[in-house]
Amino acid sequence: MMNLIANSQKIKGECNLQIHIRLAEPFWRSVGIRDLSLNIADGSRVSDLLALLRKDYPALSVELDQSPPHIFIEDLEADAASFLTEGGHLHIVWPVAGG
Amino acid sequence: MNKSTIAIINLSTSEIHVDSVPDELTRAYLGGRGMNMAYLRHYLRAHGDPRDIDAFDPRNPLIIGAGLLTGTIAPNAARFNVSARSPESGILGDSNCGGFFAAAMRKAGFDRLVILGRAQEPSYLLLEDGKISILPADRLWGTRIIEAQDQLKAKHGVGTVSAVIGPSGENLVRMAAIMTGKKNAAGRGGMGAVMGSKNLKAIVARGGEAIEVSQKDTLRTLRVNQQDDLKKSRIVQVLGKVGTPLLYEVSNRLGAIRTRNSQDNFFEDTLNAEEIEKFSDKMMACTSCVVHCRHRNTLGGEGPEYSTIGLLGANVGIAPTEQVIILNNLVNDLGLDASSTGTIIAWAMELYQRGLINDSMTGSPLRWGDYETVHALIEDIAYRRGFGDTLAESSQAMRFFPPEARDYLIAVKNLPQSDPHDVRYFKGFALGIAVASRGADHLRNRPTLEVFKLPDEARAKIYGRANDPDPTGYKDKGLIIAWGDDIFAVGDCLGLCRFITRGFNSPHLLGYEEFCELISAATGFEYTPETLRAVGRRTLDTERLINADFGLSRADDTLPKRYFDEPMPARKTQGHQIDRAQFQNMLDEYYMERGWDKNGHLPADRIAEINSVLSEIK
Repeated sequence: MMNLIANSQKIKGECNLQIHIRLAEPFWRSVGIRDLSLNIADGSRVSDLLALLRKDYPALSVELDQSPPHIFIEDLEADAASFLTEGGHLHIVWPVAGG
Repeated sequence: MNKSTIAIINLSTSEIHVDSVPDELTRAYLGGRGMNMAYLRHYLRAHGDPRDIDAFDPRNPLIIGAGLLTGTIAPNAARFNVSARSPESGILGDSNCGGFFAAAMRKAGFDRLVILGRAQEPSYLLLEDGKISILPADRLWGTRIIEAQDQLKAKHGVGTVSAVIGPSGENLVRMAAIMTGKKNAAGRGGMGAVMGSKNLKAIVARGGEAIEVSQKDTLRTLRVNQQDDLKKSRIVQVLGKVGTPLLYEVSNRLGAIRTRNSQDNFFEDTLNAEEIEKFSDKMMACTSCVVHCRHRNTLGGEGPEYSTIGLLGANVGIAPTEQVIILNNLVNDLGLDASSTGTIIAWAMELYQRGLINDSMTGSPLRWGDYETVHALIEDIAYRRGFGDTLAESSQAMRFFPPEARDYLIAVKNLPQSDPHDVRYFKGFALGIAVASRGADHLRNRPTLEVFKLPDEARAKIYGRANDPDPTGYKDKGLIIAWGDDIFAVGDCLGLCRFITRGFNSPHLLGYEEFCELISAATGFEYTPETLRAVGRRTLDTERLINADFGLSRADDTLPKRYFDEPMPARKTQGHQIDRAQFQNMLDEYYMERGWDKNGHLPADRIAEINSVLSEIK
């Protein structure tokens, strides 16, 4: 598990929210980590969290540019403007389908 | 380019007739699936009413046809189609397969085989240097897939490639596949059982001459350039690393994995791609492939693909990764279609769960997740033992069950659904499997671009006009499915893999323009994107006519009852089901896009046009 408190503090004042992130294929391979946790300030949105991830993982940033993801918070699809809540589980998924 | 060569083989009389396919027919259908359909319609009607020809009747033609570009250096040109009346669905049977067999068949001198009759004794065919021999298969009969191919290779040399049936095909299991290699399967529709009914164990090809092409240097340049472009595609890159298992997590997150016969819609993470990868030691490829999507697993087989993970995992409630891979290897070595097998076993499990069948029929309890039982049942299906003999009938096992059992069968036109995606959420996916010509199948038209949030302009450019971007809505899905129908049919006629065909998880990849260039370089035939799409339309129309001969109409373009009547239970897809009235609207739109009438029938002038083309077949 990774803790990105230091970075998140640069964006927001207080890091009250702990967010659990799962990276799906192929995103996690650019990071080498499937699951990570991150502390971020109260009132943060998905876009803030993505900015943190991009900053700490340049390879992931490239991947996200190449393959814009679908993001789920718990069972619901979120967008960049969605607010994060304490203990939330966020799943970053590549939008593909097949059979 | 030489004319396309066809061999008509009558196993009853041992007569073999080799002929050239008329150029007009090649121009109209190219090869592969389309050309198979032309010959299938011809032979099914040769004796009068096609309904009189049972799938196991010696008059049922088993047609094995390579794509027009198969075996050339065109990207991913490996594929062939096997077609016949299906013993599983009772209608058009058609299955598409990769590997190395079709290239070897063409290099041995044959683009297409039409196999009629029934050999008196178990036999196999040897194709070599433009000649065909019918040889006794007495020592081969009874062998499983890998052993059969090993024996044939030992006898005829390492350069030979075989397409074989296993015990399932020999025992006329209605979901038996024809296999080449450890995993490549012409799996859908029971083509292996048709082959078994002809007492034909294998077809062995020894490739000889390189396939002649019209402009060798141009084709080489196209290959290099197209390969470079394809390798830049993210979907091609990722498939080459992790294969189709990558799709499992995406569908599972959404809540769209068929689980416990679609009573549930999500399952365990143990079947995610990185778990499968722990059992993989290499990625494999087919002839001329640039993708390399197939795992060689450390348990003695190849795969599993996403479909098998879903249908022999989540759909029967089995979570341990190793167990699912063992089941994958087992169905492949027995020569069973993994999709039908997983769907039919799950159906039986739900019937047992609901008390519609009991131990007096099954012999022992059928419980979700019971690996030992599923393993034994798969063996029993292949050898038609005990309750396995009942399930070997696939959807036709319905006749042994109470009438309400049909409500829980996940099939369309009696073909069990091919893929693990629960289609109640994406309405285009639902329409696609409802109208697919061989029954519930995603490979005929699956509109994967629906999951992308493409800009309106991009969608309009792809599909030809503005369309509704909501994948969960019902509007414009007829347009999108008809588009997918046609381009995927053309890909099948050419022998190209779906994974490099435009529309498969990318708006790029190879489309009509690139196909035209490849055809010109390989054959000298000139097409425009419009005339090439017309080949796809002709293929779809011919398939519709074949099915019309079996009495199919609008009422058969439908979905499993559960998809209409039960909302999806969880995750993002929760609450979604298919509205019956809206579904009918989708069908109306689809028929309009296809140029069919409200009943799904072709207009008379179109039938006459197709019959005129088919009159070229002597």
